Amino acid sequence: MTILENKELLEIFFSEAEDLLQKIEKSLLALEETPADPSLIQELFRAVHTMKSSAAMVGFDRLSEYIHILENLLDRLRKGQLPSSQSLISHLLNSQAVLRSWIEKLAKAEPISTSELENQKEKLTRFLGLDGKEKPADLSAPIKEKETTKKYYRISMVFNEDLFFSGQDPLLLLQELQDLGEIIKVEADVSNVPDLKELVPFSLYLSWKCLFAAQEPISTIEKVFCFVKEEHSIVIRDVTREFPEGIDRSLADKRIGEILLEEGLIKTEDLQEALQEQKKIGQVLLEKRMVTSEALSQIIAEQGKSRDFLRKSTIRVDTQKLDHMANLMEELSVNLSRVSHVLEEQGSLSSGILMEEMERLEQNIREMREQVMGVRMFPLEGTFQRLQRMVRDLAVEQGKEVKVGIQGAETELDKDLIEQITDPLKHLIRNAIDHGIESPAERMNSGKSSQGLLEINAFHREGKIFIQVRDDGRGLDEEAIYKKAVENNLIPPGKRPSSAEMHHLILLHGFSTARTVSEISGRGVGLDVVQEQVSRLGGLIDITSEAGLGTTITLRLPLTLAVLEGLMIGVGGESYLVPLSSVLAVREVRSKDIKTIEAQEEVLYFEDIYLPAVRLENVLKISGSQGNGHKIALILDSQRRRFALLADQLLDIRQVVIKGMETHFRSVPGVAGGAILGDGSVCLILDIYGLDHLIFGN
Amino acid sequence: MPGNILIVDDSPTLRASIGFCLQNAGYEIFEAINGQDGLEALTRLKEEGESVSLIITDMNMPVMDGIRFIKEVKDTPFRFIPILVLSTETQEELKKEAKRLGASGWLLKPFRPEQLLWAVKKFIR
Repeated sequence: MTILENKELLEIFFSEAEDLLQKIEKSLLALEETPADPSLIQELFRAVHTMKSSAAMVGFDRLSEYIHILENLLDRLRKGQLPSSQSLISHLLNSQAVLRSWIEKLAKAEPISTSELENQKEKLTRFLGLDGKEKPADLSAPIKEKETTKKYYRISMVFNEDLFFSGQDPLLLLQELQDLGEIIKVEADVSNVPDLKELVPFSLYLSWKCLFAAQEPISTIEKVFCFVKEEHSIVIRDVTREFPEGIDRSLADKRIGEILLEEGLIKTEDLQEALQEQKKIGQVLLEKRMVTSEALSQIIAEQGKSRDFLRKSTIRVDTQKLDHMANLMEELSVNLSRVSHVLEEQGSLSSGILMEEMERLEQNIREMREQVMGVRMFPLEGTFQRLQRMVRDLAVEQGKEVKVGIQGAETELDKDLIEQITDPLKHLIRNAIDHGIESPAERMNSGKSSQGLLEINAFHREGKIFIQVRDDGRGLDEEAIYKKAVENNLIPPGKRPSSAEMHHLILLHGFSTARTVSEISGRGVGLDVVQEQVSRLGGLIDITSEAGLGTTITLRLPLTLAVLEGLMIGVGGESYLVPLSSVLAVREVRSKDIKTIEAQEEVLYFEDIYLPAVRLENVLKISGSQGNGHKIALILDSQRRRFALLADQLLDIRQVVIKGMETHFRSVPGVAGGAILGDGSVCLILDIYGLDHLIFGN
Repeated sequence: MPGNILIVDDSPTLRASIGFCLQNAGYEIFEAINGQDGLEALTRLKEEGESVSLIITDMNMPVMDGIRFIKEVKDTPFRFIPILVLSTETQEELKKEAKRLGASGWLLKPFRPEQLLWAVKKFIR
């Protein structure tokens, strides 16, 4: 639709233009008589102004441009910035004549020559003291620069209460947004709505937040609000980065209740009420009809998508690849030390530069090794959170009041280790709540607060990870443990062990002193499961307990399962690695130190007692051992017992990267896995706990 | 049935071109030649049972200019009818004053038909 093609409209314009030209002429002639009459100048101005607009409206842009300059000139005259001189008036009369001639040309559909137009414009601008380049400003046209990718915007609309008085309607703004893209969600803030008696119906008390997706650039979105953005608070933020592939990244980390609250689907009070229930928040809200099941399942679905995305945004790397990298790092270290050794022998290292470079190389390799290992490390946070939740659930179930204290959740641990330590930790926590923390009544009776405290702490020490589960409950009942241990033939009667030894008895197989079988623990699995798992991970368990004050169980774990520090021993020309965590001492022994009792079992005298002495070649059925000559005895603690393992030589102490055994090797008892050494040879890693079972049976 | 629009402008060209453009878009157009005429038109239309969805008004008009017109409208039951102000870039002060008085939006003259429709659609759906 171009207006220029509309004949009727043009006729209206030309007849109006004729009127205006006459008005202009009349005013100018009157001005010659009374040059400074403001009403005459105003009249003149208005006529020129109207003509300018009209000309532009019908599409006579160049004519309008000329009149625009004329208008500016008159504006200055009106404001007294230009003297109303005779020369100016005669000049204006000339302009009027020029205008008339042009309009007559246009009416006959003849063009105005460009040179004439420019010529006349220049004459006017000379009066104005402006250069002629001034252009009518571009209008706020909604020019669309289409973009192909979807953008996400968060739009906050906070209006003044008097919005309706300016004829605006927030609904229309939202509808206009909807024309441009997709309003993903809108949330109205009703918190400012006053009580009914104070409510003014013409006032706006609501504000809105909306999440909006469109292909339009932000400038287009801003134009929707062009009439309100100055007086009201409209904030538009491009949040496309938060929505990779259209999925809200932020949802993954939030709790359902939090999201529902943000979406305005529930109120804070609802949430707090529901949280009291100690059940799944969504379920409680559903039961109480605080939220519809549709809304809830939608939120859960969106959250699921978000979590899936996060999973995608991290790179999954086969741990075997990491292990391989770690292996290569080890090999590099070995190679480097060999090179260093050779250079030293040649005396080349005395050269300062070479020495410096070698040191730098060593440092780089060390750092890189740490980095490779670091990739496997994750904070314990997630696990601790789950445990915290479990404590809450268990406490409610048993009618106990338990406060959870968590420390060191940021402590990082090998991912595999985290997975494998979660179950033992759960077990310890169940145990602490079942047997450790008393009922509120019992606690009150013993002068404690009714609320028990369960602390879960993690920290680094001595290159190991310590995880502690500490309760302030009744402590271990040494008497009951002693009785039970004697009953089950775990210790000989009459000889009462020390407190520390007694505490460790609870880790033994089939041990449970619980008087009543609770719903959670006491399913026939005792703490021996924990013991077994922790040993398998190369860790140790420490128990301290004081009657009436509580129990602390500490797990000492290696930082990673991938790297193991061990003693390398040689038997029959093969090398084996014994995890250092199990080794109490190393002794050089001669055949006469090893005694045979009952013509069968060999024993070694160690720190006032005789320990069973076991030859590795016998256990693993290896031939080629040096037999009865000079031997090395490793005093080992399998956590079930102490024993001496006899080998031919002590070769080295080293860190190795554990290689998982192939499937058909996995069932080999007493062998935890393999490691590839710097020279490419393979060495088996011994599993001391498994070895114990292999030697002594269950 | 998009709605009734009252155009208040002393220029017949303006009224005709705005009317032409809006009629094409399906709006019903009523015209007034100045503010005074505009107020009378509002009352008359109401009596005839017509409701006005939007007022488009010029600023510079004889008898009653745009500013006075807006002021008057805001004193009547028509105060919630959105008012679109036509102004030029030289009238920045007027535009501010109009906004202060409760004008809903503005359009700089000269404008193209699509700009007019875009502005009108912000008030009539």
